[in-house]
Amino acid sequence: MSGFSSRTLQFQQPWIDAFSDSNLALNTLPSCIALADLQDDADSKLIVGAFDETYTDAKLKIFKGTTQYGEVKLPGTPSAIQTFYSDLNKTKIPGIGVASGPNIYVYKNLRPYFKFTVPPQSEVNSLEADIWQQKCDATQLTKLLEDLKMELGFTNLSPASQKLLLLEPHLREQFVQTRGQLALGLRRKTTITCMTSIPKYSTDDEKSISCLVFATECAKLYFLDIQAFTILNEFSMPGIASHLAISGLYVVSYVVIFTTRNGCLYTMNEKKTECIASFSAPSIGLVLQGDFIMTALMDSTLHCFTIQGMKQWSVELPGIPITLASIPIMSLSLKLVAVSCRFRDEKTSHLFFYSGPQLMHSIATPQPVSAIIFGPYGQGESALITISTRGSLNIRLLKRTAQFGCGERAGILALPPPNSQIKLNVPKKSKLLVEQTIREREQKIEIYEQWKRSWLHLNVMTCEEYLKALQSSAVSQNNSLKLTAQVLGLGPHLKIQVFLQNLSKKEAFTSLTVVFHYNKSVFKMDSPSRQVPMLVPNYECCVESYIVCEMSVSSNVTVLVFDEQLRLSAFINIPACNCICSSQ
Amino acid sequence: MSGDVVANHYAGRPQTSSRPREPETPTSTGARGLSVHGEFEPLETNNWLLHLKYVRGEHETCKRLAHTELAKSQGHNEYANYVMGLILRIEGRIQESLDFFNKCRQLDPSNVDNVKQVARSHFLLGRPEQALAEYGSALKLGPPDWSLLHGLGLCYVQLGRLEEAAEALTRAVELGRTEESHRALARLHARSEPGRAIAAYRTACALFPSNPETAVELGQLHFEMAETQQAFDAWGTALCHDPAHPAALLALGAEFQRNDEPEVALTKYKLCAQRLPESSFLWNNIGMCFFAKKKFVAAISCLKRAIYLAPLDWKALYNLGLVHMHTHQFVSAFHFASASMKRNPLHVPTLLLLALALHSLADDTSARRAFEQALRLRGDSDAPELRANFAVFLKRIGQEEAARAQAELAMVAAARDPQLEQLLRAAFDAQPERPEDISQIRAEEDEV
Repeated sequence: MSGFSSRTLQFQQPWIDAFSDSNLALNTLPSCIALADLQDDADSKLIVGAFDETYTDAKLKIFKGTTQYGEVKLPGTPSAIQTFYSDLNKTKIPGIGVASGPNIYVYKNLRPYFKFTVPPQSEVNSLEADIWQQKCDATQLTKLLEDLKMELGFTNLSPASQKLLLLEPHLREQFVQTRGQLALGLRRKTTITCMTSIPKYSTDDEKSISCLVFATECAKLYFLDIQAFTILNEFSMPGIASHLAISGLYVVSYVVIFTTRNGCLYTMNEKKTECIASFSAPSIGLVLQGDFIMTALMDSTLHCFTIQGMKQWSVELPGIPITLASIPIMSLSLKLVAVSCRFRDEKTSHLFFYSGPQLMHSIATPQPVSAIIFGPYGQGESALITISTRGSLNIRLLKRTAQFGCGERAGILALPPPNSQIKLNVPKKSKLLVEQTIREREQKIEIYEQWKRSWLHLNVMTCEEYLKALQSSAVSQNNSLKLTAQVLGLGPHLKIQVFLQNLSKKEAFTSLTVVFHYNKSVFKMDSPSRQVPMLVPNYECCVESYIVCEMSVSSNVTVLVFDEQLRLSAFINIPACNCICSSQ
Repeated sequence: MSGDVVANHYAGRPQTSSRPREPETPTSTGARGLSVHGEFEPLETNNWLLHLKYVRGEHETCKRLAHTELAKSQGHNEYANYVMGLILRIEGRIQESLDFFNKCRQLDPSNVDNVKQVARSHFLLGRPEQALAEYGSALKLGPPDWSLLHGLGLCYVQLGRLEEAAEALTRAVELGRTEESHRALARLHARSEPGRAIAAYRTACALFPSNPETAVELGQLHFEMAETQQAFDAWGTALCHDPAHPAALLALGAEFQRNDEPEVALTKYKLCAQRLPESSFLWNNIGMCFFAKKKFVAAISCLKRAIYLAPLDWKALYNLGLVHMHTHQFVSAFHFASASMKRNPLHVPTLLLLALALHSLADDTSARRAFEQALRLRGDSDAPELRANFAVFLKRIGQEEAARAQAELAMVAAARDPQLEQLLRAAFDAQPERPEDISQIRAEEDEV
């Protein structure tokens, strides 16, 4: 960007660009990518849940090395993908859990293995249940439900009622009849909004058995045992979770961290739920590193809290964040957070790496990065895999000699250049300016006198023209003056506009006054009389005045226009206005 | 909210996992018929996607998805309406966004967020009374929430009901501890009780140390209370977090300039000009820095740029007149001073400048009138430089006695300042034809 030589930047670049393919068109989300050793052959693969353009269909794509290795068509759009180990077999084959709608589809060896469905909610308003229980025909039922809708709101009705109300009237009868088991239909299917996993017994082994944790649209949090596919725990949440993270061990103790759609950050354990922070903008992602929670917000800030709820720091991000991910670099015992940002000008986008509030490193990316994942890939230990918003896949490997924080900032983040380098853009003195200055100095009196004469001349000319206009105008006639009036506003503060137009060809009106005559107990007016400037022919002049109603009755205001004698008058009816301004 | 465990250990396993069960064949989300279990596809199936697309700033995609959802549900998807409202608000289409929020409210009147957004829209549309009523009804729906009280406070501020505003904002601060509420409260206090405002700003700075705006505002408040040192500290803090924060730089620069350190001030302004190239105040101050360094041509270009950016800024016009006076371009000086005076006819130094320019242009009648007008505006107060200049002027047009009287008055006003005395004596003795003015006119400087 600025004076940085690109060579030094490249030299210090800690990443090796291993692979990049811009023709893959991977439309995905950060929650729908994962890395896992799918065949227990120490060759980690990339799992991507790829959507189609309309987000109605999706595929699970598996990448091995630089090629696509497998593809599975998914039965719905995935909201989250999580890999986990569920057995103690010698060959550790992980399961891939795909949350979609109310279901979790589990795949093993790229084959469908299991489907779990979140039990539907059966909390239905008792009134609504009563209505459905009554044996009445569709018209009556619809009417009763319409009434209930007015009271509760459409959203709070059960799906069956919603469906009935949305149906065409002639289809309703059939709908009511075909639905034999009425009670069942009142239950509400839910949707999984986010999902993560927690180790069940031990944290030492990465391949130990874990539990799936997911939150639903009904503001519930579930712990799912993936050996038996039973629900272990169910919690109510204070809001609908948008991002979820968890720390701890299921059998010992754990803390669930989540952000809600309205921008609050909560921690939750078996005993209590606590709101750590309530932001003014919603969160775009959540990262947990040890005891620290980091979240980036839509208003371009990055915040850090401890798991106990203490605020640590917050920084302003240089751009608009899209997603963030944890980059733990074990070899340097450094825990970075990568934030992908785009900029308002839409031309550039960057990946920023923060260690604490400190910006350590950045990579310019040709397209904004939509999803980031860091971890073992292939044989490599540390790979940074990014998928851009336009679907290209980039794999960068961490150099063994990589160093962060040695001053390799991208140009865009370079500190302002030292003061001595900044030049103020001040125009140089031109020859013309010098000449003019010299002339002004030499002939100042002449210039001034000339100006004074012209000024006087202009004044005289104006006066003469004015006098001419006065002398040539005849005595005005009533019909040569036109008055229109209008009232603006709803009250109690109203604006009266009086338009005066001189319709005559030759004459001019000089000292017209507009006077408003009104009932003082009903109205209040700041300036009941107004001077009108000289009205030259064809010129329309607008006189405005503000009026305040103090009583809620209709009344009228008389507008009088006169100079030495009354020229015109008009009545304006002012309707009663409902809200009254109390006199202040 | 309670986080009670609703332990739900299902008695029997739903499936025996001996036989892997095939996932259902894909069903298009558009079809919402009766499913096997007798449940319907809920309207809110894709809400998570809408939310994610919205927060990630992919608003075009989000709008497209929301339209699909709305078409599918005949406009009954609450969250799709909500997201549409939020996006339209960001796009500045407030009225349309209000329509969407009203629709949300119709769909779920018990949801506080819906009412809150309706209230916010009214506020943005400049209808604080209506917003106030909506916030009131939102507060009745659930437990108090900082954002509701914050909004309420802003409405009260808008309506001029400052005490209620302070109360609401204090509660917002207590509930939410957010930066916005802290700053809103501090700004409110700054109107009436600067002491409390400073305390509020200090709390905000301590809680949110990384935001330079708060520190700049604190500095400004200190400065208005003539606590220069604290103001300096606050601006310094702001610059720690953002070394090129324009407002802090401009304020610091102006302060250095006032203390006759134009070089230091200029370094600050140079940085500032990178981020704020179109500020007339900045260019005015830069111009006066060059003037202090006797670089008149640069000063004139900078001041002319300031006037180009803000043609009605009387201070820049006055300064330009002053610089032209020093370059002996009296006609230009006269014109700029006269323009400045038309904007601010009560500024005595402008009249003095005008008088001196007129005198240099041999229009002594007008010059005298300008002097007299200036003296009239000053009344009987001390105006040594004005009287001294007047004395010299009278002397030059040959009115010895009046001149001596004015000189005497000037001496008294300046409490027998030896420097002035010397200058006056020199002026009286030397009798040059059209000497330079001895004015000690101070340059006018602006601040942020």
